[in-house]
Amino acid sequence: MKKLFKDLSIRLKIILLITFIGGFTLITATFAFLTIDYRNFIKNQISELSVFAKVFGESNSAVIFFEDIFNAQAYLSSIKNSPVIKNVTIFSINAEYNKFKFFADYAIEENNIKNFDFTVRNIDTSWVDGNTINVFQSIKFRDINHFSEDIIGAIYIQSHLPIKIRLWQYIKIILIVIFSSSLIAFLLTLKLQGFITSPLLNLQTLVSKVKNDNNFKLRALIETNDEVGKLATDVNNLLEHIEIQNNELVSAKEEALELVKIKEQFVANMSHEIRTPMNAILGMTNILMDSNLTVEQLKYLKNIKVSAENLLVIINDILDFSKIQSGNIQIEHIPFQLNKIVKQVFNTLKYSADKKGLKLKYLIHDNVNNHLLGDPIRLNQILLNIIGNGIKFTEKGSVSLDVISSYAETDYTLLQFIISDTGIGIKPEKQQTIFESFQQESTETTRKYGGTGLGLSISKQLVELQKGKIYLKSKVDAGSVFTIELPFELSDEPVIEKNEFILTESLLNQMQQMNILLAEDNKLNQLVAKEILKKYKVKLTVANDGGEAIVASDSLKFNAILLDLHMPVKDGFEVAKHIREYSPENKDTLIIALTAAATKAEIDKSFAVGMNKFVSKPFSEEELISAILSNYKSDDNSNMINSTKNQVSITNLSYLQTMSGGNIKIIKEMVILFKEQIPIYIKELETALQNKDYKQLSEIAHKTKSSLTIVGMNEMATEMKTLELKAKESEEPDSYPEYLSNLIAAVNTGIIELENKIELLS
Amino acid sequence: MKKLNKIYLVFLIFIFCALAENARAQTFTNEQVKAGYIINFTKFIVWPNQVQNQNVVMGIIGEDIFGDVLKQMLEARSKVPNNWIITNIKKPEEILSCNIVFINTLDAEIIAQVLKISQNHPILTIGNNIKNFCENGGIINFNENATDKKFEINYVQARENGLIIDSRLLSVAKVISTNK
Repeated sequence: MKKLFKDLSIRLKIILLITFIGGFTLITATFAFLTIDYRNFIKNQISELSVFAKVFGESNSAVIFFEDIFNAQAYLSSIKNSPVIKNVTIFSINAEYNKFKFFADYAIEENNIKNFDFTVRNIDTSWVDGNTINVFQSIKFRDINHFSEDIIGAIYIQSHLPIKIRLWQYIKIILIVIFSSSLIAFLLTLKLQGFITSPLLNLQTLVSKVKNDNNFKLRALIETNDEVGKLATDVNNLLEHIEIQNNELVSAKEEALELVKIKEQFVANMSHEIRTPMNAILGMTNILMDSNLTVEQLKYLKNIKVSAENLLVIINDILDFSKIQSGNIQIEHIPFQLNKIVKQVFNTLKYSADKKGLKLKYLIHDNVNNHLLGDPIRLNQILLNIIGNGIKFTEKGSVSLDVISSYAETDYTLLQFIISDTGIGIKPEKQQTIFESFQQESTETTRKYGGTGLGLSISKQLVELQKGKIYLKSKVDAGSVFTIELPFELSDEPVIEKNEFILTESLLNQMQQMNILLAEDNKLNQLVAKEILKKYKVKLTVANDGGEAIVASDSLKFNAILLDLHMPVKDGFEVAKHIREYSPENKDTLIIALTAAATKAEIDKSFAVGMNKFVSKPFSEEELISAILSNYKSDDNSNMINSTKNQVSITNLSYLQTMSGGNIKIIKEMVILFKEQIPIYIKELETALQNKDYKQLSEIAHKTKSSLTIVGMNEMATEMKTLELKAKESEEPDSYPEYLSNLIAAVNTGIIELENKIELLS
Repeated sequence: MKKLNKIYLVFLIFIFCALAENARAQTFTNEQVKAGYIINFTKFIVWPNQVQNQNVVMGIIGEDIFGDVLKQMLEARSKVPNNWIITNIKKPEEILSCNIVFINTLDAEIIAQVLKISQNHPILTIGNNIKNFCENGGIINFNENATDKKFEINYVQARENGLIIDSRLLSVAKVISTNK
C-alpha cells in the first residue's frame, strides 16, 4: 500500500491527500457536531417534555383540585395523538402526608408507576433510560390572583426518544455530506493541483528535453518563488554549470586533439629527418658496393649496410609503435592471396635463416582459403616480426609456420598461424610481460640479441586491431610456439594483381629515351637517385629546390618528375599543384612523390594535389625504377591501358616471364601454343561430357588445368581442378556443363587479354 | 424461584398496606368535599379590587351544612392566607356585603330574590344542588347527581357580576348559560 502510494505521481498524491485530509476533517467535525447535536437533542427533548409536563400538569390543576377523575381521563386520552409519549401519570398531593398519591394515568405500555413511592423531595427530575425519557415534574398551582403558589401534585411522563429515526437521519446526512464534499474537494483539487504540479511538470519536461537533445543552453522558466521555483533556479544554475563545463571540456578536447596533431606532425618530421640521412647512407653504400673494392673494403661496407638496415627496422618499429599508440593506424580491407604473403615473408627471411643454418619451412593446410579480405601489409608485418624473432632466438634447428583454418563459414574464416621454433624459449614468469611494450625476456637478451623490445608489442596490437588473438607456449631451451588467430572474410573478387616489375630489354631501351626531372634539395639523396638513374642512361635534369623545379617543368617536357615533398622555396605539394595547373607541357606527366615522412596524411595530400605515385625514402633501385616505368607504359598506350585498367585481369604472364627469363619470343610462342591447344581440349571435354565418360572428362580437365596455369588463368585452373576431382568420383554430374561453358567464356576473354599483353611487351 | 416468590410476597403486602392507608385517608364526608370545593373555587376567581389576605365573607342561606368543617379545613391548610368570615343570611339584601353566598334552600322565591339582588354585584353565588340554578342567573351549582362534572358554572353571569373565572375551573365544570 505504502509503496503503491509512493509510486503515484505527485499530481495524484496531492489529489488523494487533499481529498483524504478533507474527508477525514469533515468526518471528525461531523462526528463532533453530531455528538453535540445529539446531546442537545436529548436535552431539548427533556426540556420540551418538561415544559410539556409542566403545562400539561398545570392545565390539569383544576382537575386535581376538584379530583375530577373523569376530566382527567379525558385530558390524558388526548395524549394518544402524540407519537412519542407512551405514559403519563398524574399524582395529587396528600398535604398531610407530604406524599404523592396516584391520581390518574394514561399508559400505552403496562407499568407500575402508580405504585411508586414518590416523595415531594425528589420531584422535578428527568432521566434517560435506554430509549425512554422520563420526566417527573411537580404540578404547581398559582391562584388566579397570583397570591400564592403551591405544589398540588406531580406529573410523570414517559416518552420515546426517537433516537433510531434521528440516528438514521444523521447517517444519511453524514453520508451525503461526506460524499458530496469529498467529490467537490476531489474536483477542486483536480482543477487546482496544477498550481503546484505544473511548475514541477514543466521542470521535468525541461530536464528530459535537456537530456534528449543534449542541449544545455535550455533554461527553466521561474514562475514562482516557492520550493519549486528555488528548484528551478538550482536546475538553471546546474545547467549553466554543465554548459560552462562542457565548453571547457570541448576546448580541452580540441586542445588535446591539437596536441595529438602536433605530436603526429612531430613524428612525421622526425621520421623525415631520420630517414633522409638513412636513405643517403644506404644509397651510397649500394653505389659504393658496385664500385671496384678490395675484399676488406667490401666486408666493411656490407657491415655498414647491415647496420643501416637494422637501424631502419628499429626506426620503423618506433614509428609504427607511435602510430598505434595514437590510434592513427588504419586496417585495410582489401582482397589478397594468402600464399603470396607467406611466400614473401619467407623470401625476406630466407637469407637470415640460411646464414644461421636454420631450417625455415611453412605449410598452408588444404582447408585454408587462399583468397581473403583483410590487410595483407599488416599480416606481412606480423609474420615477419614473429618469425624473425624465432630466427633471432634460435641457434640451431628450425623455425616453421603452419597455417590452419580453425573455423569457417561461407564468407568468413578464422585462421591460425602457428609459428614454432627450437630456440632458447621463454621463462614462464616472463611469458605474460613479453607482449608489453619495451619488454624483453631480460636485459641480458637486449644486450645479446639487440632490438627495441617493441616487435612483439606491435605485433600483438596489430593482431588485436584486426580482432585477433595471440598466444604463446614456451619451454626454456625447448623452443616457443606462437599462435596467432586472425579472422578474415573470404573474398569473391579475384586479386587485382600488380604487374610485377620485370625489367625486360625493351623496357631498358625505353628508359634510355626518357627525360626525367629530379627535384631534391638533399645533395646526398640527389646523388643516390642520380647514380641509380645513371645506370639506365636516363636523361636527367636536377632541380635543387621547388623554385628550380617549377622553372624546369615550365620549359621542358618530361616523361617523369621525381619530387621531394620537403624542399626550400616551394615544397613538393606546391610544385605539383603548379605543374598540374600551369605547365601545359607536363600537364599529364607522371609525378612521383619522394618522401621520408610516410604518414597517411602526407600520402593523401600528395594525391590530392595531382601526384601519381609515392616512393618512400630510403628507396631501393627496384622501387624507384618500377615506379617510373609503371607509368611510362601507360604514357605510350594510354587509350588501351585505360580501357583495361579497371577491368579485372584474368591472365598473368609472370610465370611465363620468369620461366623464359623475360624473353618475349618464348612468351609469344607459349601463348600461341596455348591458343592452339585449348580449343582441342574444349572439344575433347565436350565429347567426354556427351558420352558421359567422366573418367575421361577428369583426365582432360587435368590437362586443361595445367595449360591454364601456364598463362596465369588461375581462377579457371582452380575450377578445372574442382571439375577434375568431381568427375573422377562422378559427383554432381549436373554441374559439369556449367564448368565447360565457364571455361569457354574465360578462354575467349583470356586469349584477347593475352594478345594485348604480348603486344605491350613487344 | 422460591426467593423470587418471597420478594413478590413482600411486595404485595407492601402495596396492600399502602392501599389501605389511602382508603382511610380518602373517606371525606359530602360536606367536607363541598367545603374543600368552595375553598378551591376562590383560587380560580377574581373579585374586583381584591387584595392579598383580604377577608373572605361567605354568607350561607338556609341550613349551615358545614359547621366547623370549613374552619377546620381552612386551619389544616395553613397555607391558605385568607381570613374567612362565615355569616348566616336572614334577609336577601344582606348578601350585598358578602363575597360568596352559599344557597342551601329549595325555596324558589328566596333563590330568585337572592339571584336578582346579586345581579351586577361581585358576589359568587353557589347553589347546593338547586335545579336550574345557573340557568336562572346563579354562578356555580353543585350537582351531586351528575356522574362526570360535579358542578356547573355560568361564567357569562359571573362576568356580568364582575367576577373573573379562571378557564382551568371551567374545564372541570359543566358550563351553563342564563336562560333569557
